[in-house]
Amino acid sequence: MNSIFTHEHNIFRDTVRKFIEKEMEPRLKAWEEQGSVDRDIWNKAADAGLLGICIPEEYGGPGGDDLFNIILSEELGHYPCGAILGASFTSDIASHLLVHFGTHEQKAEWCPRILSGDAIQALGLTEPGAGSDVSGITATARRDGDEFVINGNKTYISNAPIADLLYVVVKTEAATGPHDMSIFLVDTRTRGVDIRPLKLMGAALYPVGEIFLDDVRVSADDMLGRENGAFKVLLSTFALDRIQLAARSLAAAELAFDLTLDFVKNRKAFGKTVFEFQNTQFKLAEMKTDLTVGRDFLDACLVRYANSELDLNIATMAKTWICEMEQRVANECLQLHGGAGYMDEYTISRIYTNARLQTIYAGTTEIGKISIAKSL
Amino acid sequence: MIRRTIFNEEHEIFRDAVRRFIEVEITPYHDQWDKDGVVPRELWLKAGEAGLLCSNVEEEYGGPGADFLFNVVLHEELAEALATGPGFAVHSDMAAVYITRFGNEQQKKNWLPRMVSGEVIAAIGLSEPDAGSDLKAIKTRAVRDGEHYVINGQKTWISNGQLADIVILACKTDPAAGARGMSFIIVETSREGFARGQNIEKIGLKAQDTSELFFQDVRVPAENLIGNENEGFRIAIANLAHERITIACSAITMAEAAIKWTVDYTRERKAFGTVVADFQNTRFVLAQLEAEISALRVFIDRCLELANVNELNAVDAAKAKMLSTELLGRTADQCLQLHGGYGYTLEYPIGRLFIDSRVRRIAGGSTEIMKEIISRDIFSK
Repeated sequence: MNSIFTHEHNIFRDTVRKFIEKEMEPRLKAWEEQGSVDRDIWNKAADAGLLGICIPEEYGGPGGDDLFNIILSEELGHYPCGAILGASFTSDIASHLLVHFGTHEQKAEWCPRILSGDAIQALGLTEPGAGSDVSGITATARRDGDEFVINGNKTYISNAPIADLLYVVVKTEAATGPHDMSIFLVDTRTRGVDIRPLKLMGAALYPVGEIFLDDVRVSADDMLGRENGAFKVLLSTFALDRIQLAARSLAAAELAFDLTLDFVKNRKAFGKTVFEFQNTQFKLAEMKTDLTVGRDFLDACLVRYANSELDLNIATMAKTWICEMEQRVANECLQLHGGAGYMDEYTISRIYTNARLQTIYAGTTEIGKISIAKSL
Repeated sequence: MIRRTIFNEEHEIFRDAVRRFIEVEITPYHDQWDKDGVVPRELWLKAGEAGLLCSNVEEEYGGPGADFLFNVVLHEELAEALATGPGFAVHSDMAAVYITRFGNEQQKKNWLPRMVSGEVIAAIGLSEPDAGSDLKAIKTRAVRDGEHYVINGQKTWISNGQLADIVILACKTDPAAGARGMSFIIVETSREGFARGQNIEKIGLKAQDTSELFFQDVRVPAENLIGNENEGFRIAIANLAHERITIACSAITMAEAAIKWTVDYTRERKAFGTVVADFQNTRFVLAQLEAEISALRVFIDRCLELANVNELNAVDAAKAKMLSTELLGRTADQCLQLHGGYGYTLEYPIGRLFIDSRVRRIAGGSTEIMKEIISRDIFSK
């Protein structure tokens, strides 16, 4: 029925599932105890062909389309480790920027390392004073001969604490309008780059950090795309970013539902199973309806995306609505677990805390509403 | 906000003392306690010295003999400071009350003075792996053997479980009799056969120790029984209205604090050339919450007033507990959202309030149980 997925897509989905089941799920408990994910999982994911999917064959990649990325994101959401770890692996969105806007030299330098799992990427956009309001960024790059000197702070940067390659969004001296921004590729080993991890609520295996850039010297050749062209570059990934997040969010909501259904059918209270209470059944009925609506909506978005017909506003609606729905579902599911729901022994507790982030990052629900309203 | 009228001058003097205590002895260390998973014993001794523990215990047993509203003041101040680590409520408002109201002279003399001073920390052992809200389903067994009880069983999610010196343990003494076959027995944690499980990991309340407790052939003297044998259910429900209105009061105070922080934050935070406080969405979200909190505060104060003269019934307390914890949940969620990315980090208190407060809709009787209580009352008429 789902004709947008080819045989290759289905094989890839299988690969992803096997990888998660074999390499990730068994290690989740240990990762939670140590508070971080082992670095080698990136190399293993690379070996399994999960990273740099969009990188073309001439740079050593498989040159896969965006549906592969969406499949990866969705499958992660279907498993506790993915639902808890968050979007780490889907940072592949950054590879898109490199592939579509990078020079031959930039691609030749970074693609092999991305494909081997040795270059973890992070997008340095948000700043302490500029979150959803991207045009408010104040990081600067000052031209100095053949080099640029970067100064500024970035915060809430996904993957920052483990990143090797930063895409740093700055304003150069050529910037006049609010949307005039430029992107530089910055190796995290460069002098003047300092990264500090941030503490998030919940189990928070998801690596997030602050980046301090103090007179960081990069070559003018490290600029990605045109000067002042960053907004267009970033905009080109918005639809994919939102739709892959919606896919993972929906999958995590489905996982929360399945875990809860299983729990309430086994848990006894007042002489019967919790499932037998009408309140439980009505809550589950509401959730199942939401999940079904979300699934059909997402599928329709994917078909449009595959045919290059997905309007950014529709992608925004999908992200906004599905992420809000995941949060509702996670909350109700936690409640149906009773006391067990608050304890980390049960997966639902971390799906809940992780779900809380979904309506904030990749454009908050409020920013989503602003864009949708603008189109009216 | 409608002016509050339930407190007198003594309450306010006590409030000042509590506030100073929290500022000096709790707030600076709370982050560390969150990492440790427990608060230090010294805090309990200091709290005892400052007169914060077991306010209701009579002077003859070393307490201040203060009224119920003193407890309320303490919990309001703890809530406002987001001091969720210290498990004073279980100790002062449950354990000490059980002993005061139903214990014998010997038990009062033996335990209350040291509970007031913080030398002895108490826990209440109710929940079991297969019995949470459904208390009568507990399986822990106490069998009489001459002048002793022999206790076997397992408890879970026990607040103060790591620190406790005594556990006031709900046991079955007549398993065939259901709710009428349950008793409370004081079990010293020094007794042979008692073991603590690990500190249980939770999504929030990180600084409050929560444990599984195991009892294997634990022998305790028969005089450790509180009240009469098989009277446990009556003891447990006797104090429920007070326990639940305390939770309600704490919840509404936390919701007020969340609003205050969010107003401060949105006034400072700039976006799109203005401050977040200037967006209509921000103003409307906060207006809605503020109106709901103001209305509920009046209801809760009236309940507190009744509780102070022992006239609050369990059904009204259930209404207050349900409405306030649900409102706190909505407030925490929406205030976090207004903090944007900062809300999800632990840099601002709103993030910790969000995860710490989630348990309020579950512990002390879940929202679903409150609905059961309220609906049973409606249909009993």
